[in-house]
Amino acid sequence: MAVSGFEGFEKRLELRFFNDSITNNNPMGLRLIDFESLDQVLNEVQCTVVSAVANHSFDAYVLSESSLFVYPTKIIIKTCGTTQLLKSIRPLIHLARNVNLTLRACRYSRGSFIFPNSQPFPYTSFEDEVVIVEESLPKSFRYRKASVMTPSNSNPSRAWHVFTASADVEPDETLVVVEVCMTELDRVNARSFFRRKGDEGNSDSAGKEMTRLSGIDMINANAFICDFAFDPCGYSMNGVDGDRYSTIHVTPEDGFSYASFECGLSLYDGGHGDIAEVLARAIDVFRPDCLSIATTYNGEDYDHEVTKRVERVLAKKLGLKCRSRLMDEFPGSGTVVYQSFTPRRK
Amino acid sequence: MGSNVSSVHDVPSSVENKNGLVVEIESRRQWRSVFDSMKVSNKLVHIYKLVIDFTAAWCGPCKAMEPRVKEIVSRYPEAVFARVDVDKLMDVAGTYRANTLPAFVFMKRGEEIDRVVGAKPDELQN
Repeated sequence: MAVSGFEGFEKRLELRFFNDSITNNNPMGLRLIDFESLDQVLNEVQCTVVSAVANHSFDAYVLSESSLFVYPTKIIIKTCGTTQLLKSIRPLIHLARNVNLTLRACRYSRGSFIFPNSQPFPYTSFEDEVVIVEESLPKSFRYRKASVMTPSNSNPSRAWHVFTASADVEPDETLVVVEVCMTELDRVNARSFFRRKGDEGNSDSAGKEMTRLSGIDMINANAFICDFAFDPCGYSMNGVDGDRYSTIHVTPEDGFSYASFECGLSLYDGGHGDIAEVLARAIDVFRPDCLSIATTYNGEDYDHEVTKRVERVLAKKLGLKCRSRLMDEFPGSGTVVYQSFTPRRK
Repeated sequence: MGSNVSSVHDVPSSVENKNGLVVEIESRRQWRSVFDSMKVSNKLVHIYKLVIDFTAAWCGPCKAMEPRVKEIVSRYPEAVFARVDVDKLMDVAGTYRANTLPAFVFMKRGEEIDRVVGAKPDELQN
């Protein structure tokens, strides 16, 4: 491990709003927030938009340090490096109020930083982060929970941190969110994410090349991919498929290599492919020596069979053994399952 | 292209080659005249390079890229940028399968020669 380098592990913030002001005549909700205002919030978080795409369901922005998704009643921001993500909560709640939307639930989550000492306050301690989030939320949110899910046997200890707060005890979200964090990427695979010498193309065609060469375009062949290649290395993409989002971010440098894959999907919609197969394809792009999967089953009834199937498929197709499995329940946000894997040979 | 463009009779004035401006297509009739004039080879006006900029009122990403699009538009005075709101002109959007926005469709003599989907200003340049 390098002494210091770019922090790939992201901080993720999800804000969900009541949908009572969403009607057939006025379906846009948060998407009505003008872009200039969003840009200002991102400036405070210390990131900017590098590429963007929209369809009938949502807006997807690739940022200099990760991604932003805007749905009518949901915003997801995921940022890496040393960004000040939590500074966005208050301004976003304010902007939402301007378009008549009231906050319903908030979820903040992250893994364990590779370089924890390089993070600014409050990201040096999860307790401090929770205090900051709570200060930004309405006092009326009665259902709050903070949890650090720590596998007993992992080395280095990679815990999953979650804080949720909501106005209702019942989860309102129907999609399942899967967050995969991978480190110690296969060196050969990671090379795809370096810009080539004498690369005449601009960032966008370089991004397309990386998407194609790495096989990322095959994870979900239906998705439109908005990709971006950073200089001299690094890659980000947002995938758009109907109302489903996906996102991948890669820090390929040896010593602190990292890749994340996240998607929102429904377990029971066969048309979008089996979750275990999708995960296997995504992980196969990077062949990491260490990975974790955090799955949030929101409104969906938790199905243990799915958890076991993911473990079976990853073992069979990628030789990855599940070393730990933790579960926790969050009022208003559903069940979170946190699995850690390393290759069987270890 | 040059400066003799303004005295054309067939083509509505909104379709004249105004250097560096984006023409907002308000109606199907206006769209038809832009599209048809592309195919007509005329000594004074030859709008053979048309870039259709598909956008929508609700499209945040379209707005995010507007400043950079303007920059590019000014760099290609010989092309006409026609902005089509996909909600106002649904059938045009449908014909060009403009489901993911922003979408820039490059036309030459009535045929699509290329397209760029998503706000990718660098790619537009090429």
